[in-house]
Amino acid sequence: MTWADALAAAGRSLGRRAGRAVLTVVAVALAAALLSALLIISTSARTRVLTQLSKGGPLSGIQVAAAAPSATALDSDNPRPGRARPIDAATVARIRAVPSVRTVVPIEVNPVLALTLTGDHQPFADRVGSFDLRRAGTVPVALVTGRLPAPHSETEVAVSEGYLHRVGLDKKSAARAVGTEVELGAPREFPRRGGRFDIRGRWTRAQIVGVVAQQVVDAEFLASPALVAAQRSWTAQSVTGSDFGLPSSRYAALFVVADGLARVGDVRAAIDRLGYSTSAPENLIETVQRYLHVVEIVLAGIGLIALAIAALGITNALLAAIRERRREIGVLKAIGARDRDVRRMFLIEAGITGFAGGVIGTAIGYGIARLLGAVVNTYLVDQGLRGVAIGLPWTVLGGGILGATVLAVVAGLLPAQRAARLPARQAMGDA
Amino acid sequence: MPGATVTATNLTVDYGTAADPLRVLDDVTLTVTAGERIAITGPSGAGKTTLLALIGGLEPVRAGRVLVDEVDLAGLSGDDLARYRHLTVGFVFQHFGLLGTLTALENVELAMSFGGIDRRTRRLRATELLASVGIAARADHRPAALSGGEAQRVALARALANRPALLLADEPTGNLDHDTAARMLDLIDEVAADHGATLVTVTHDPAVAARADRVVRLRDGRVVAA
Repeated sequence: MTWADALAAAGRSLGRRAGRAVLTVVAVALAAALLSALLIISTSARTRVLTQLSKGGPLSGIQVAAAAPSATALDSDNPRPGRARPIDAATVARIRAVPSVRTVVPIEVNPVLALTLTGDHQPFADRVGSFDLRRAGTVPVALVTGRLPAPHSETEVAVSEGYLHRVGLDKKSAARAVGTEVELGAPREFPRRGGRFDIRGRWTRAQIVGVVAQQVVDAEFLASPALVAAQRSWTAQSVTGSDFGLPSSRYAALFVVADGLARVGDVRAAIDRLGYSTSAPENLIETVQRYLHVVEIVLAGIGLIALAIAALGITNALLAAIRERRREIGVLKAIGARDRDVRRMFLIEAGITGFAGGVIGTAIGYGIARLLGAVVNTYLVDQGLRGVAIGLPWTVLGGGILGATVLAVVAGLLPAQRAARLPARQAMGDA
Repeated sequence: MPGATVTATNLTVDYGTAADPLRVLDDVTLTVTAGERIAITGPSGAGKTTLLALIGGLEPVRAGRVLVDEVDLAGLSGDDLARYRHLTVGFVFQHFGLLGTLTALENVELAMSFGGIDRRTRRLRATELLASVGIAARADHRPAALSGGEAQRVALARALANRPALLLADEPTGNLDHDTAARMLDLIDEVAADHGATLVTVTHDPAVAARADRVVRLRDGRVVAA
C-alpha cells in the first residue's frame, strides 16, 4: 500500500468518526495553543527585556569612549572612562581589525544652541550627534515614537527624552513633539577689535521626526552625518581654538558589535589593549538571560504537560477506534494488507490529528499571545514605555506544528502496533 | 489463473486454555482439486469457519499441514502470508466486509492497492469487475446505500480483483433473502467457473451445499463425510 493510499484511507477513517476526530483535534489544539502562547509570550518578553538592557542595539554591542581605559574597565558593565583620548580614522581601522569584531559604527557630535520654534521656551546649549543612520539597527538607540531622520537629510532630527522635559512634555506625550520644529545653531568664534571675540551661529531649521529613548553620546539631538559634518566644519573654524565642548578628534565615540555575546569580553580586552575605554552590559545580559532561560523552561514544561495529556487523548481515541474496527482490520488483512500497512494507516491517522491540532493550536496560541500583548502594551504605553512586539517566531511555529505532529505519531505507536498485530481471522468475527 | 489444489493433512486446532481445552478441528484431512467446487457443512461449532480460515491463511497452521499448490502455509508468516492472501485467495464473507467509508468502486480498488498496481489500472479493473457482477450502476454508492444482494456482489467483485486461484466463501448467502441468495449463488458459480478458481463454500444451507461438486460434512471438528 502506498503512502498516498494510506493517507487517503486514514483521512476517510477520520471523516467517518468526525465527532471523535474533532474532539481529539481540539484537545491537541488547546494544548498546542497553550504551549505556543507561553513560548511566544516568553520569547517576546525576553526580546523586550534584552532590548531594554541593550538599549535597542545588539546584545553584543560595545561602546568605545574617546578616553583611555580605567583600571576596572573589563570588570564592569559601566566603567568610568580615563583621560580623554582622540578617536580618528586610524583608530577605527585598528578596532575593525580586532578578531571577532563584526562592525564598527563611528559617532560624531557637535555643540549646538537649540531654539524651539513652538511655545515659549528658553534657548539652551546641547549637542547634536550622528552616525550612519542606514545602520541604525547596530546602535543602541530605540525609538519611543516617530522615526529616525532620513540618512542624508539636513532638515530632520530626532530628540531624546531630555528635550521633551525642556519643552514641558513627558514620555506619554512624546508624540506631540513629532512634527514640531527646532533651530540648531552651531557656534563659531570670530575676531573683534581689542582682542575680543564674537560668537556667531550657523543655524539649521529642522523638523523633529521622532523621539528616541537614549541620548547618543550625551547629545539631545540625533541627526544625519551630513548635518553634523556641516555643523562641525563651521564650529571647528573658531579662530581661538575654543572648542565649545567640541571633541578633540573627529569621532566622539564608537559603537562596536562583536560576533556574539560570548565574544564581547575578548573584544573589549583587545580594545582595552589599544588604549580605549569600553562599556557593555554583557554581565547583566548574561545574568538576565540565565533567569529568562529558567522561566522559558518552566513555561515550556507547562505546555508540554498539556501536550502529553492531549497525546493520551489521541492514544485513547485510536484504541477506541481499533476496538470498533477489529473486523474491518481483519478484512484489510484478508485482502492482502500487511501488518506494516495497517500500522501505517493508524500512524497517519494520528499524524493528521496532531498536525491539524498543531496548526489550529499554534494559530490560537498566537492569537492569545497577541491579545495578551495588546493588554500589556496598553499598560506599557500608559507608563510611557515602548510596547512589546508580539511576533510568531519560526521556532514556535515549526515547533508547535511539528511537535504536535510528532507527539501524536508517538502517541499512536501503541494503538497502531496493536492494530497491526490483530489477527486476520478478525475478518470472520470473533469465532 | 487456473484453480488451486488444496491439500489439508491432519489439521488440528485447539482453543481455550490448558485447563479447559477446546478442540475445534481434530485431525482433519481434506483434498480439493483444482477448479473443484466444494461445500463445507455442519452444525455450529463444527469447525467449518476455522477450516476455511486455515485454508485462507487467516489463521496460522500450528498442527497439521495445508498445501496450496505445493505452498506449505505452515511455512509462511507475516508478509508472505499476507502476500498469499492477496494473490491467491479471494474471500466472500457473510457480513460482506465492505469498508463503509469507501464507495463500491473504491472497495474493489482497495483489494488491488496492496499489490503495487497503479491507480489507473486499479480503477479500470474495478470498473470491469463491477460490470461483470452486474452492479456497475452502483459503483459510486457506499455500502450503506446498497441492498444486501448488491453489497455481496461488490464483495464478490472485490474477491476477484487479484484473479485468485482460490475463492473462499463463508456463508455467502447468510444475510440474503431467498431469491437474492439464489441469484448470488448463480453468480458465484459463474464467476468461479469463468476464472477457473477453486471454490470452497462454508454453509449451513443444504440448498447451497447441493450446488457443490462435493460436500464435506464436519461434526465436532472431525470430517464425518466427504
